[in-house]
Amino acid sequence: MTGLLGISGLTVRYGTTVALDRLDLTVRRDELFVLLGGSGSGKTTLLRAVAGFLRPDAGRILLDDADLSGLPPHTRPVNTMFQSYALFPHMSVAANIGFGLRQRGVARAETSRRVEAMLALVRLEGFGARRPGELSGGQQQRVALARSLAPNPRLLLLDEPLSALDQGLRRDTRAELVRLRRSLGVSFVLVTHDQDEALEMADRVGVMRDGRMAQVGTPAELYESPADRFVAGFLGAANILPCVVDGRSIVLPTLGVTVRAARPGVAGSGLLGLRAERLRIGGEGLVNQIDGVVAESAYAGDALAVSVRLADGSVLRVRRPLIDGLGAAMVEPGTKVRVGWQPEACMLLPE
Amino acid sequence: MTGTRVEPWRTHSRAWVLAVPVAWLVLLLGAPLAIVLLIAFATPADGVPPYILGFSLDNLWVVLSDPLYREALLRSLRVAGVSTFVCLVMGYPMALAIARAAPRWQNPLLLAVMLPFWTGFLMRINAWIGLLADDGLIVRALGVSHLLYTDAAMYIGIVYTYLPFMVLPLYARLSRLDPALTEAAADLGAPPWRVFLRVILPLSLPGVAAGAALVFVPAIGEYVIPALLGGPQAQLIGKVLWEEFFANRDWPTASSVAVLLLAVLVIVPGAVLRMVRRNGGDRSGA
Repeated sequence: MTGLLGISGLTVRYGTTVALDRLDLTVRRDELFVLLGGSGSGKTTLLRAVAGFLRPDAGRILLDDADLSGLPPHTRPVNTMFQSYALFPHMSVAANIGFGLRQRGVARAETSRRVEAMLALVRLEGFGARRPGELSGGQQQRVALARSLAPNPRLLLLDEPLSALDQGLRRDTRAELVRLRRSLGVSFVLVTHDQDEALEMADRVGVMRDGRMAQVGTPAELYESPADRFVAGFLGAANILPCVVDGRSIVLPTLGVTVRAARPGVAGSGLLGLRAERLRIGGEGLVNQIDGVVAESAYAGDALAVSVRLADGSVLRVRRPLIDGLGAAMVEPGTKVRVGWQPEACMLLPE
Repeated sequence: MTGTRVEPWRTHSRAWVLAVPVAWLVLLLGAPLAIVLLIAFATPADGVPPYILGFSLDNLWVVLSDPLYREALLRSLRVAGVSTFVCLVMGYPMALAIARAAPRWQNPLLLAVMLPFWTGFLMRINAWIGLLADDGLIVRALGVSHLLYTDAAMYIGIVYTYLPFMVLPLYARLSRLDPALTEAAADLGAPPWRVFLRVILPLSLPGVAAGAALVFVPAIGEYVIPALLGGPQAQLIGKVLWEEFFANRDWPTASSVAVLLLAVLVIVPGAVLRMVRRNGGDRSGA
């Protein structure tokens, strides 16, 4: 698990806007690293800088300790899977997959052997003679993956690889992509704006904001202990309350309530993050409790989304599971309720 | 439209909408073509009009058998072919450069390509007479003895005139090429020249065919430029046609030449198009 890709001080400017701002990042060998961020966060710019499609204004990109910064894309031992797939429409599927091998001087016979192997890998045996235009979106996606993997890159960059697929197919493809990567042992850097995708697929996630890395960690680290309010809100919905921290005891001054956290925080004023699905309505018996009135409740399929108005007028969003059925979970607006949670649910964030 | 039921009022209004272009085509394309065909089969005569209608294959036979016409046609084919090729070699890099330029530069550059059309065609060719004259700038700069009234001058004139017709369809095609395709080729290890040969060029072939047809077709019948810039020995099919009509007043022979020329103009681009299609140009998508 040593570093494969090392990025330091990477800066990219488009005119006066800064797309990447002195960014540092290490991607390890044999991992699936997900770059997560909203539009304009710089995640695609970072990917394009590593692929060589744009020249950074400052900083270094090291792959296995060799500096890539000055190299044109066709000499980099890195391949890209494009969001639009960018399959060559005038070539057969086999010629598409074999393109990278032929460019690297692999003999014709060896190329066609590898192409067959790649077709088998993505379960498209027998499709070699077709044109990309004759395939479905899901099949094209697999051809694009096979094409980018065929030259055996040391690092594969995937730009929103699942965004063009429909919901059901996307879910299956996530798991398949992870399985495929494990079996090949190639490192993936995958760009997405979809937090579910990031949490489900990644070995590690880097959350990007304004051209910088807001936080890097495993999905569990990011979700359970986000570094700040932005990360807490970007990965899953979180209630944010102002608080004053004193060791493990947390005072909520606007509510006049003191609650307990599992781990001590930095003393002083801060923010308390509470995830909606870690809160329980009717939480008598739990360590932390707040009283409120149901303001709204909406059916959300896998849960009941309940808004509880607190004494200070702020609203706490709670997701009530439907394990005992919808009828048992239903609460009418206006009902007085007690919301409870365990100390482990407290996320202490800086202001 | 087969297999779908169309309400009567719809077909009627559609017929009326189509009536204008159909009438235009019948009046201005079909009718003249029919008249030319009719005259091609007529017999020459002294009088007004200078022919007697009938069905005679003599004129067509003369045009096909007399080496004068055959050589003029072959020479015209060669001139048009060479001009098309030179336009392609010069126009392709221009079109590619414009398509790759920053978006705010593309329209000014396209305008520059089309700018010559703002001035009259004859005026521009006359300007070339001055430029190519023995005491003109170009002859002195190149250090040659003379250029005007040679094949070289004729080619310069034709290429100059028709270059925009090559650049514009090529630009239209190249500007729509997905940049991700060239990036993907580079990403897979292709150096820039192979990105061009394997991806850009094959996908631009429909544009090449369109541009070549737009240059080749008018160039083959070109009469004015060879007459003004070319040498007196240059017997091109356009000039032969002109002389049969106006100098010899032999309308049936002139019409036969016109029919022959038209046949060549339909067959050659047709063959080129078919070749491009067979090479998969039509499957390359938008």
